[in-house]
Amino acid sequence: MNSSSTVQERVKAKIPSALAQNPRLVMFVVLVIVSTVLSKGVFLSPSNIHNMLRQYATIGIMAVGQTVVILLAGVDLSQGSMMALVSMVVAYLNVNGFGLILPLLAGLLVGALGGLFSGTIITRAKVPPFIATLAMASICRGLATLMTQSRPIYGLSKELLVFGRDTIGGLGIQVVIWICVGLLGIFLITRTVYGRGVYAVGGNEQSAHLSGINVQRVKLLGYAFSGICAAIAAIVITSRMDMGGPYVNANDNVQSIASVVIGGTSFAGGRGTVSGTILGTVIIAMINNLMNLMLINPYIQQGIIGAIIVITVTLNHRRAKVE
Amino acid sequence: MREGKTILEMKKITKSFPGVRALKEVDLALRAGEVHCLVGENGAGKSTLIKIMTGAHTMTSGEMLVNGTPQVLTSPLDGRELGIRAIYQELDLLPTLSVAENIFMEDVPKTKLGLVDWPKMNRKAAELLQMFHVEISPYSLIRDLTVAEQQIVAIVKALSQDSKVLIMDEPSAVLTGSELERLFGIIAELKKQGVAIVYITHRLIEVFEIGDIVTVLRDGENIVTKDIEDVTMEKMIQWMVGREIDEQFYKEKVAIGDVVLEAKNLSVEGMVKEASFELREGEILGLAGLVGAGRTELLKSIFGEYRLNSGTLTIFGEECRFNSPRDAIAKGLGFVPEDRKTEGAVLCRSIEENISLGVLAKKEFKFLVHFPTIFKKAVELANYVKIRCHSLRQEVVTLSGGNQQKTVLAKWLASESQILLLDEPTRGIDVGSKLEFYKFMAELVRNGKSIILVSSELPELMALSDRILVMSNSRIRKEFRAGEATQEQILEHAIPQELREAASS
Repeated sequence: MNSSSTVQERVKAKIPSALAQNPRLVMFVVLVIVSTVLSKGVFLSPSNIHNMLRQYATIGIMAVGQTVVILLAGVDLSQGSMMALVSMVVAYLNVNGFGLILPLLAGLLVGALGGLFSGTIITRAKVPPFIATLAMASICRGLATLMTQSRPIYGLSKELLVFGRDTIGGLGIQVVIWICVGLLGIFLITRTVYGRGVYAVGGNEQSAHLSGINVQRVKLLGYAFSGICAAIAAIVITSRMDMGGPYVNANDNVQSIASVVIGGTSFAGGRGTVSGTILGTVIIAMINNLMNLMLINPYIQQGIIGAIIVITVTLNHRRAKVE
Repeated sequence: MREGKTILEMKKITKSFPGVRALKEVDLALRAGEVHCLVGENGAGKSTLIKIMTGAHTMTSGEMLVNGTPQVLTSPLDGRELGIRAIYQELDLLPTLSVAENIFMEDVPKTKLGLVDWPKMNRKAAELLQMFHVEISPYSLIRDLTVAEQQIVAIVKALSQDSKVLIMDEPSAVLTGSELERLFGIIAELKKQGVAIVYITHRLIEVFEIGDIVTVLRDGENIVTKDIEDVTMEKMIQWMVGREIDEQFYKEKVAIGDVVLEAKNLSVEGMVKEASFELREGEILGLAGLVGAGRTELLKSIFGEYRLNSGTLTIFGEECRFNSPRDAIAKGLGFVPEDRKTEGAVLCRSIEENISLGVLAKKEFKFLVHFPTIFKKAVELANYVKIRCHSLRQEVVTLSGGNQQKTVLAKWLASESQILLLDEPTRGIDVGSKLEFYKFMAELVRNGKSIILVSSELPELMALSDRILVMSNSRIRKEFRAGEATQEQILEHAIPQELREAASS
């Protein structure tokens, strides 16, 4: 006890209070400086930043939904596979002459229903979120591959391609979508009755229940939101790749969870912010970008990201203890 | 009484934390075979002191002698080595392991091959349990035991390694009646074996029942150490709070109004049997009974947490069927649960958020929150119930027990609950805060609210209630008016029939 308290005092004395209060912001600033120096300024070029954001928009969008679920002391492992399923559904309907709007709505609906389904298993059957969403992931991936015997769907109509390719006022549409989803998430969590419910349920489910919060509904909607975010991300990725792919972005689920964790949200639930998650995604994007600029082997990059997750979580944990 | 050898002596112990001096030159001596009671309000320094004794904290200055030799403890392991053990309120038992495994957690008996010697472990555990005349199987899992039994296991665990000093931090908080007697029996046994016992309690009456000597701490200072024979309850409370307290309880005469809640034959499978009673405006209705008598269950079934199997509940003249607490809250009910940490508050969120929860659930706000409005209301209520904090954005986990409880209560005031169900609201709260809480209850009923109060502290229940219902075995057995019954009479109805018959035969 005593030795740790002196360590705390030492840590507190040495590290500026900014770090103690927001390690992510410091990490962000350090990364900007390091990246700029190492890339001899290339990093700060608008085209590099823009490319980076475009590339990570899908993960950023997923991570917003993931934040809500993790705040609820859960996790959504089905986002990646849900994206594959939505991608296939949207592409299938699009190439079979249903135009643009209907496939998009159908995709969002699939995401929402999938989330509601996971949520129902979790709240009604009391299956732990980890297992329920893992099962959901398998179901989604199975359905996605079943649709075409695992062949990608090509030949999407032109108007569907805007989401991954066009720009509005110089900003890629997917970046605009990411910003909108992010703002929506921030609004939902900080400005609505629902957001208060999310924090209460994640913090202490029983207390929330006895305070009159409809715990089941809060959870159901949380998983539905996560599913919808995955569906939006799926639309962007389908558009960018110009195909419906049953194997798209299997790894994105990990990155979306990583964004949330690096963003400072507690896996125990009840503590964290959507804005932190957005910063978390940007940090992951910057680290990858930096490593690309430095021509680091992509396979090693994966490992480095893993190490960074461990370091941030440890730092967060220590900070929580200091407080 | 005073001939016991001094085992542990603390001299001029001072402990400073950054910004606070938690202990100021405290002296304390523990003798073999003596129960040394440690009392004081929350924040008086009791836990800091025992943590220094066990080595969990190191002192800033001062000296600690064990058997006459100065010792410097730097971790609980050092304390354990010297035979100093503590049993904290939150028992450090592992619920999914067996009794024997828990008892020998730190010193697992091994075979020659270095594997766990299960037969030996279970045999030794059984022997230890036998010493205390308790019927607990060494093979039972901790989670299958009652809290009282778990506590006994914790005591046995602490004693399995030849403890010289045993520190018990509020062991009685969760016990009632016969369980408490059993605990006292065990303490008496330990005294005979020459163990020095430090007993911390908020139930001051116990100090007189089992204490030999009492030390009162206030603001980190040792106010007094005296033999129990030379102390009175009034004096002790005075020392604790540092001023004269004219009353221990507080009750106002309030005009009793119409019936606000009427229960007829309420039954919940296995929990409540045919409970019938009424509650009137401005009334405090006490629920007496032993732990497990069904008092909490009755409150929870009124509050919609448990679904009624049969019976009718009429609130403000309207028959109600609640599917969840949410429905009950909408009808003007509020519930302060027994365990504020697991059921009452959301500890990792702010005071303001906790207070506002009840309002939000009452559907006054559908989707959007007008934050300035609810924040203003929260500030008002926090001031009203006098929560001591730096800011309402502070997490509830940082508050003391009393202030956490006030936060939970403020939640129900925010949602303008008319009927409050209070389950052991003063448990683990210090004397000063208790009195504040009583005054507060008086004010609530004066303003036309009604209260159902569950309390295991009979003097408190008797002083505050207008009527008392006594429960045992899930049934309401008897009703008393205020001042009509003695503690003995209430207890007589609280003890289940079978037990009484068993005792008399």
